Amino acid sequence: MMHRRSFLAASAALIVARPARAFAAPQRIVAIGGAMTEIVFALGEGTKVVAVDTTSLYPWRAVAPLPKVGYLRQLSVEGILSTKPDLILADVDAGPKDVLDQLQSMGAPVAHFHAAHTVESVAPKIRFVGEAIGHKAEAETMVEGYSTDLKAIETTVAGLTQKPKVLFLIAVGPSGLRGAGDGTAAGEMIGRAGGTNSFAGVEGYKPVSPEASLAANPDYLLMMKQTVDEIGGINAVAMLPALAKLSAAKEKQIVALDGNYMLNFGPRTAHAIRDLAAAIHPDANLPALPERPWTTT
Amino acid sequence: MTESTIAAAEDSAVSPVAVILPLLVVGAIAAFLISISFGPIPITLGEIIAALTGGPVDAMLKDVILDLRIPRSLMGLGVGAVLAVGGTAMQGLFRNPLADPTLIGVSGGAALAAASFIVFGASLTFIPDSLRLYAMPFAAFIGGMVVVLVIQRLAQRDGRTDIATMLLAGIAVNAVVMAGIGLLTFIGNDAQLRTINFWMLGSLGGSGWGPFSAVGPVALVVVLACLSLARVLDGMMLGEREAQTLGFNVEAAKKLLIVAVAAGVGTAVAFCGVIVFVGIVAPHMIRLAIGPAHRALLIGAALLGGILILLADTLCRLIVAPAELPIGIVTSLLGAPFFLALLLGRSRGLGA
Repeated sequence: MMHRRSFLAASAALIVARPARAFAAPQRIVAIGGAMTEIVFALGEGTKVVAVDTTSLYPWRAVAPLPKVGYLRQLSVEGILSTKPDLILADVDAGPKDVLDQLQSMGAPVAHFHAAHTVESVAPKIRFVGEAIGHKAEAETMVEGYSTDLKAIETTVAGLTQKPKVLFLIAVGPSGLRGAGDGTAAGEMIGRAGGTNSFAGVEGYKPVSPEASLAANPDYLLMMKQTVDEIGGINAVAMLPALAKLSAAKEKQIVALDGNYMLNFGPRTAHAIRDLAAAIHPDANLPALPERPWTTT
Repeated sequence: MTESTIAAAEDSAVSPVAVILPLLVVGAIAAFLISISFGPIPITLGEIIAALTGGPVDAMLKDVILDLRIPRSLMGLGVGAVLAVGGTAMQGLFRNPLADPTLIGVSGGAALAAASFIVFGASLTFIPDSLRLYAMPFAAFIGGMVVVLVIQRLAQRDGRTDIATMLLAGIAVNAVVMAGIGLLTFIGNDAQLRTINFWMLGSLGGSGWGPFSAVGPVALVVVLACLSLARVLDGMMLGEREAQTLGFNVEAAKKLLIVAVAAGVGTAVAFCGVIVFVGIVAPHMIRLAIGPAHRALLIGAALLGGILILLADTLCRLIVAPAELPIGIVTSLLGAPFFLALLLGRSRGLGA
């Protein structure tokens, strides 16, 4: 007993003593942030993930049974320590900051990625994870694939002449609609996919009045598939009193994409842009992007 | 347990105070031990003792015990005591069983200031990073105090604090404060909204020796200050004028009580967010058990408040481990039905 304890103490001291960035082949990873989790799994180290946060939803079948350390902005020190991690991979939103600091000071190495959610942050994010888990070469291959796909879809989108108006609704409920304005992941995706954000000029996710949505007269309504499923499918969404008057609803121009796929800026983002672009440009017959190992899990 | 204990105590003419208070002390010690023994990381009593006495224990466990669990449990005791004593004092002051510190605007003011800080804090670049951790609690504390003082000023009539006006002013100012928080949730982005939301539900998750070194002493001073006013509170049960004729300086006592409760609850809310219901449940349970005399009532409520927070917090850490539940959910969810059962049982007993 004594021996085990002192050995544990000694090994803990060793981990602290190592330089912060050298997490050689971690065996117990806590991944915080949907994209972080997705990349670790795509790099083939999914079996080493011992816990994730509640925003990590892909690959669903592998992630679902894992212990959840809570919402990524409300982590708890002891909760994470109880999973005995030797690497905590945290996306930019993870926090609170003092929790991450405390984890680091208690000898649980934290790799915290700092870059806003944009299409451009994906490649550095993949490299960051690759370095942290000791898969630099695989990460580089992934970045190459992602960049090729991104360039391909950007070229395609640049050739599109129409820029349909798209309104992303993050919530549709009895208390009204909530749309995505500027500086949101959804707003960014709409722009990348060759659309115009109907709710531009407003910062963040804000309530949209039914009149404002009528005035904006979007060509397409964009929602997370999860939201659409909760309401009961595309037809049910089109019949909602708050939406029924919109021409987009009357013509069933409602696009539903998986929330994680569309909004978490991970390796599948190029494919998500293509799918969204294809959905809002149905006549353009956009070519599909090649399948990648990380898009087919 | 309490019902039969009370009955037995009354029958044998032993004052219930002499039975209940020692029981509460034992209960508080037990709750403290439970809260430092249980968490997402399994820790044995032996390991706790080893950590405390410098014995051989895994370094990480030692950190968890000494830097996470113990300050957090002490924080729970302090916050619980302050909330319960604040509730007791407000109920005495307003002669209203529903009064609690929320009524004089402490929680609301603190919440408004905290929400403002969450939304606008990032643009206050002059605050050095090293102080950032304490900037929000400090803002919350100031916010709570300012709102209390505003309400207190509004209730001034001819140099004395009119309690009835204060109650109404409190309701009105709280409405304004809530509107302010509503506006901030509208302005704020999704991340800030989540943070405000979590904060409004309370959590001891931010505990540590730093926060405790602020909350602990304040809690102690506030509990002692309220205790020193126990006899005035007793007098005020008869009415303000009656207390005056009994020779108490009622106006001074009122002001001191309001400031003490505002400082205590303001500090608690600043570090742990809004934890509801303890300020109402704890004093009522003690009042049912040992009667309305304030000295014993305040001590009993302080102990029970600590016990309730510690047990609720332990549950929060265990139920969804390795995540954590906001404590306000547990205090309401468990506190309210228990409280109702107690009240209903009591009134039926009286009716029979």
